[in-house]
Amino acid sequence: MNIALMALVGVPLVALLFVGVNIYNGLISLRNQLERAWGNIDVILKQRFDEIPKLIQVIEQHAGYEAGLLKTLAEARAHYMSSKTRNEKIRASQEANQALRGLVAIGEAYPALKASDSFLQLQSRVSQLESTIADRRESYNEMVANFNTRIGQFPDVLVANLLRFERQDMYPISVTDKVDPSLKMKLPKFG
Amino acid sequence: MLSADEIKIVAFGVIFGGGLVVRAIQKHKKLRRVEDIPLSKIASAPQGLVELQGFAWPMTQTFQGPDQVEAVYYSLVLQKEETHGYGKNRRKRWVTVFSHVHGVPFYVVDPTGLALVYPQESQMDLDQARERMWRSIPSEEQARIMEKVIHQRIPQFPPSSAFFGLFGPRFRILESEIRVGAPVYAMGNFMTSSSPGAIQRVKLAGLTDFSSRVFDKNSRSLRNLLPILDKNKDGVIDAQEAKLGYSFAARRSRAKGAPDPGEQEFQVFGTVGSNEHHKLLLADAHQHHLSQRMGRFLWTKFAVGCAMIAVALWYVLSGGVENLRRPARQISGHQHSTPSE
Repeated sequence: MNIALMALVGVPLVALLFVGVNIYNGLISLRNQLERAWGNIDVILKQRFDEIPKLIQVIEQHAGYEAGLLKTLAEARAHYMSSKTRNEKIRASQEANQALRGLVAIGEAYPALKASDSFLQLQSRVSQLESTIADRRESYNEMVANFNTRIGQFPDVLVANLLRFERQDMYPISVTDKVDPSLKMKLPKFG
Repeated sequence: MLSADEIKIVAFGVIFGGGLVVRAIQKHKKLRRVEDIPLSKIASAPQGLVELQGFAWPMTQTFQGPDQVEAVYYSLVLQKEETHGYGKNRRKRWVTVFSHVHGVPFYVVDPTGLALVYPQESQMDLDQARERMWRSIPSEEQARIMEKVIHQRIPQFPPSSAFFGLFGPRFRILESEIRVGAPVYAMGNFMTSSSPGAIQRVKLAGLTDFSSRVFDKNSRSLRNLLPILDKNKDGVIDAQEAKLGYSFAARRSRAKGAPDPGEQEFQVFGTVGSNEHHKLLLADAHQHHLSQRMGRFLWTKFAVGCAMIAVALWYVLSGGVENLRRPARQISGHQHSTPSE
């Protein structure tokens, strides 16, 4: 009879062990998917930053040396390349966002630049990359929300605490990104 | 010692219960994969394993099912009821005698573009197949099925309709389909057409009109069509309402026929298929509806399976019904008797 009771209790325990293993594997897979989602954004951010030296070259050719804008772009790129953590890369990206929005104003102020095919191609390329970053940021934030929810819910929270999983931060939109760029910048008079 | 019948009951409990548990764990793993991989928009989908969702749109010809609705994927299984065994062991079961699948490549459309999928190499997860007894199908529809789907001779089919078909063999059909314009979910290996020369732009009849009805191009997302699609006014668009509503919108858009001059070009960003690690999963619902469907009764099956195994093992280890009926004192009396008595 004791053996029978052991079977009655043992089978659900074994089943729970399987469930525990399933949860553990699921959380590891989820964390790897999160890393992959960030990697997919990182790739596009790097592509965008790689376009910046070409942009600087084209702007200098047609509009002369625009100290403010070009310096900001170059600094943002340098920050990104030297960034180690995810949050540092996000901050560098947000700096570049502000500077790249100034391109619209630059184009309006310098007709020769605006007519340049190289400038237009680069502007279009950067715009396309911005759309891709926005889409992948949405996917990444969805993953982060999913991850944070999963490690907080029972029974996954038991395994997540054992593995010391921590809540992740979303990729936010900065305050400056929400504000329309002013098209009236202080620029030297042309001619 | 267990009798033969008791052994059969125990074996059934272990096997059936074990099957339920294994099935529940497999379903749980699949559900977790669907929930864990983030949805991507087609235009910005990365290479490799992705989740996409959108609406089905035909690449070439469609299949017009017996109900006259266009589908990009259609499957029909014809089954015959057969009787086995004699007397108390007489059992009836349904046996497949014919199956047909129309599964040509089709597009998944979302607000950003198109992706091509190949249903022949995919694992399909479709809503419960429509099941109908052959004799309940109107004669016109029976004729369409015979003409369009069942092109070969099948013994005793179609069954005789004499005496209302009561004395002939019974047949039923199981149909699954993905209608044009229906919600589609795809999880598989995404490959982009990376070289500029390979970028494909297509004009598809009715797609411009359908896109304007369904997508908000500014926000690159779905329009809020709750007032239109929510037929039972419960504040939620369920899977069936989505399937019927969006496919109806597609029918309206395609009613004009061939692409007209005003039709826009849409870019095909890549293909979604299987690779050596992941088989393409195609479903006829968007992710949240698919998750609901996959999670239905999951934990119930798991719990019932565990309970069946536990009870079966307990039954075996406690010696079966005989030992349960015999009082404990009678058993211990035999054990304590000495040879001299």
